[in-house]
Parts: sequence; structure tokens; C-alpha cells
Amino acid sequence: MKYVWISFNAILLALVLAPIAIVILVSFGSREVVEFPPSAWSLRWYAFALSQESFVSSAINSAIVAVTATAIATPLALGAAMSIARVRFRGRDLVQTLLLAPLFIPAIVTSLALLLALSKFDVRAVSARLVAAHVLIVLPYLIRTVLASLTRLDAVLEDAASTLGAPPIRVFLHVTLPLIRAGMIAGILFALIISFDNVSVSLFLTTPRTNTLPIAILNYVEYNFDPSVAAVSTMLIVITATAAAFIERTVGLRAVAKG
Amino acid sequence: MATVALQTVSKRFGSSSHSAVNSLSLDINSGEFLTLLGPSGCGKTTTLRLIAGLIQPDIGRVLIRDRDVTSVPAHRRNIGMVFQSHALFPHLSISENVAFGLKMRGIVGLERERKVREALSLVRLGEFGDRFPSQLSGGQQQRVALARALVFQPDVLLLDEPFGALDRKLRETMQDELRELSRRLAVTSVFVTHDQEEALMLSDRIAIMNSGSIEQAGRPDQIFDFPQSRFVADFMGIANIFDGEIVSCDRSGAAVQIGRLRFETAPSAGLKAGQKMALAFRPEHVRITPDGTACGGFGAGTVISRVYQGVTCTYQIHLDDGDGRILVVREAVPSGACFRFDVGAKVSATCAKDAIHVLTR
Repeated sequence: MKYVWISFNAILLALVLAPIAIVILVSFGSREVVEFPPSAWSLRWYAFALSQESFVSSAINSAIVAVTATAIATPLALGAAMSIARVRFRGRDLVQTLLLAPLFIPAIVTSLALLLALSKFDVRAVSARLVAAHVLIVLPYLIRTVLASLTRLDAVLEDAASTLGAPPIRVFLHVTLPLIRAGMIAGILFALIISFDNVSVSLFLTTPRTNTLPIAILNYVEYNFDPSVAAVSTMLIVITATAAAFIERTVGLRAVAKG
Repeated sequence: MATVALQTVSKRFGSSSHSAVNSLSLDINSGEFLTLLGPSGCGKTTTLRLIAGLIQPDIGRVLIRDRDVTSVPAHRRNIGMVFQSHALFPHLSISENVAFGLKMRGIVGLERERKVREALSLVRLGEFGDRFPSQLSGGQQQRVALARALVFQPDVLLLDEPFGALDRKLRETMQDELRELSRRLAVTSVFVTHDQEEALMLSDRIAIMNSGSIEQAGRPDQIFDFPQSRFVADFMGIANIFDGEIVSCDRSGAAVQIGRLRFETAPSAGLKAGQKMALAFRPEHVRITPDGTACGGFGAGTVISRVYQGVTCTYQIHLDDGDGRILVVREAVPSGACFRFDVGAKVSATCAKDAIHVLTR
């Protein structure tokens, strides 16, 4: 019976990893067309991708949006999580559910709503639109990770700090914050990845001139079909995997996913 | 002089219908070791948290050193507190844990180092400053918590079931150490526990709490020997409490009727014939003999169970004239034997007149 489960997991793992493996292999091809497995090997598509203005500028845009949105969302999430975890008020459970709701609502619905709202309030600047939208997308992920860390933190430690003479702000700085640090770092990395990879919301809010990387890839694939996209994807995979490995090292991926 | 005074303090949580602490007044004298003793849910921890300032009373006043601190938050009260879960900061070293209160008070440099060193040697952990809480045993962690609470010379030391999580042997060692330490430092201490033995051992004075109020307060021997209410008697381990009525009463004592049994008690003030009350008999004070060798007292009965406890043995006796009442008797196990009586044995039981407690409430 044990071997049946092992084989089951092996097959599942192969299915999960196959697309990634295929993309990585394709990216090292040397011919003009996408072929699997490649008949000849080279790094030319990496060079080509990095020379493409649309990929490079959109990657920079994506990075700026991800960092800005996460930087804005983190203190907001911290405030929300602290109030949910530490303050007793009516409707607390409802607030928590609603703050996490975007996780369960189809992204396309959120996107459409955002497009309508941002147009209504006449937010024209693409960068402002994108950042506002991405704050909204990453917020629930951040709240969930910070809330998880706060729930695990024994509130008696904060009581102890105040009996020792620490006013609330110093309790937060000297006790609460250091003890949820690992969870916060994980949440921040998670938020950066979520924002960087986002397609659905960006699809509605970008223009051909101001793009994010996932949208640039989509646009490129519409007219071209060469391994350069595979090269870009491989670079994305490496960046994401590095971040994931870092999360795993600090708090564990499962803790983040579970919230 | 009272170091801490609670004046008709009440506290209710949320929409709960009953108060966790109900119009409670208590003075804690300077240098005194006072224990709040009671079952879980009696409000003892809430009372401690009210003194600490971790919660504020709905009504009433809290005074520390004659200063009204009712609305002063915990961090401005100069109190030291030890929690059951020790509550050491896991991300700080032992020295940093102990230094925390000094740091918050702006004490820096060599003076801070010196005080931390002194506090750690006080609890015999001088060598452990550079370690982290997770590297210490449960008893050591609790000693660090004690050092951390004492290092800045608090006006009052609050201890919330500090030894509840330790095993029996370690708990006894810690109790001895705490008693020695509190005598030596003469720091005013309020100790919360549900363990009556612990309370008797450590305290100068015990306050027994029941549903948010103090039932009885006094020296440990007063509480133990002269319980004033059923609740206190029961909590202090008097397993036999029987309802009865006073049939006659004079200078030599009272005669009390319990079912078909009649008892003579020692003289006691404020009793009158016809009064409903209860008699309490400590299981250790009841003597049992083979049937027919004693008369009066509880009369004859049958052993229905026996439990061997090493030093003592506890019998349950069904009384022939007790209308279904069960008498609990505990006696020392004779050397070389486990039991004096088997289940089913007929016995007679008596209790000396001056060991009978009269409970009027």
C-alpha cells in the first residue's frame, strides 16, 4: 500500500513539474521556432529577451508596482491584523472575513470593479491605477500571514512587557514586532510575488505604453511564437523559486499558505 | 500601612451576567505575603490583573502606596508580575529579559548590568545570562521570570499560579525558594493559587475567594482550623459537611440533630436552639473502631470503599442511622499493613467534641 501512495505522489509531482521543465528546456533552444525538445542548444533567446525594450521596461514597471503596492499594503495589513487579533469589538469576525474576501472572489470580478471605480473617480495615471489595484490584491495575503503570526504569539508576552513598564508603543516595537518578524517577511515576499505575477487585474488597467511583464508576455505571444517567451518565463521561475526558498527557510511555505 | 488597597472593586466582562469580581475590598500590608486562594473561575486572577492594571475595574478604587491608580495603566504602576506560563521573551537572552524593566525605566550602562547580575544571582542563575529561554528548564525559566519581576524593586510582586505548570517535586523546591526569597526581601506579594497546601505553606495571610468575593481572610492556621462557611470548609478539605438543627444550647455547648444522629459541640457564640446550621468533620479527625466498641457519635456503619494513598488510607462509610449520608474517614496506614478494615466491614465512628466545626453559613 505504501508503494502505491509513493507512485501516486511521484506521478502527481511529474504532472505539476512537467510544464515548468518543458518551458525551461524550450528556453535553451537555438532555432527560430518553439520546439520540444530543442534540436540545438543556445542562450540566444535570453540575449534576445534582455534586448527587447518591451520586456525590460515592463519588468521594471512590474517591480516598481510590486514594491510600491507591498510597501503601502504592509502597514495597512499590520494595522488590520493587530486590531482583529488584539481588540475585541462587535463584528470582528465579519471584518476579518470581508478583509480576506478578495481571496475567494474571482479576480476578474475584482478587476472589472476596479476598472469601473477608477474611471469613475477619474484616476487616469496608469501607475497610480496599477498601484491602487495591486494594493487591493496583495492586502488579503498580507493580512492573513500577519494575522497568523499574531494569533500564534501568546498575548501574555505583551501583558508581561507592560507590567515591566513598557508603554503600548514600546510593547509593539520590542515584543510584538520582533516576534512576528518571520511571518511578516514571508507575507511581504508572498505579496511581491502575487503582485509581480498578476495578470487579470493588470490586463484591465495597463496600456500598450505602460505595461507589466505578464501583460508584455501575453502581447508578445499574440504575434510571435519563439523561445524568447520561454526565456523570460524561466527567469521569472528562478526569481520566484528563490523567493519561495527564502520563505521556506524562514517560516515555512505551508504556514504562509495556511494563513 | 497598606501597600495595596482594593475598595469595593467590581469587574464584569463583556455581556456576562455575573461579575468576575464583585464589590471586593482588601488591604494588603507592607511586606506581607498574601494569597488569593480559590477554585478556577472564582475571580482570583481577575483580582490580580486589577492590581496589575492590565484591566480596569467598572467600579471601585485601586490604591498602591496610598496613590489612587484606578485609571493608571500597568506600565506606570511599578509592579512586578510572574505568570504561570513564565512569559519570558523568546527572542531575548536571559540577561536581556531581566534587563527589560530597567531599560523601560531608562536605567543604562554599568548600573543596569550590575542590577541584572545581582538579580540573576539572587535566583542562582548567575551563569545563565547569555542563554535563551528555550535553553532553560521549566523551573529555571520561572526563576528568571522572578528575577525579571524583582530587579527594578517593584512596590508589589504579583504571582499568578507561577508553579502551576511544574511537576510536584520541582514545585516544592520552587515554593521553598520563593518563601525564603520573599522573607529575605520583605517585598509585598500577592500570590494566586488553587492549591490549598501551597497557600498554607507560603502565606502570611490567605484570602479565600468564591464567585468574585472574599469568603474569609486570615492567617493560614485560622483558615484551616476555623473555617467560617461551608465553602471554606469544603475548600480546605473538610469532606464531611452535614446539615442539621440545634435542639438545645447552653454554656457547655450545643446539641445538634442531624437526621437520627445527635452531636454535642464545644461552646460557640451566637448559637440558639432551633437554628439551622451544618456540622463539618475533617476526615483525619474521625476515628473508627470495630463495631460495638464505641457508642454515640456517628454510631455504626459499613465500609463501602477504601483507597490506599501510601501514608494514609481513605474509607467511605455508609452510616446505619445517617439516612443515606456517607462519612469520609482518613487515617494513617499502620506500619506493615495496608488497611485496618475491608470493604463490607462493620465499624463505629466518632469525632472529638473540639474537632467539630460549626458552620452557620
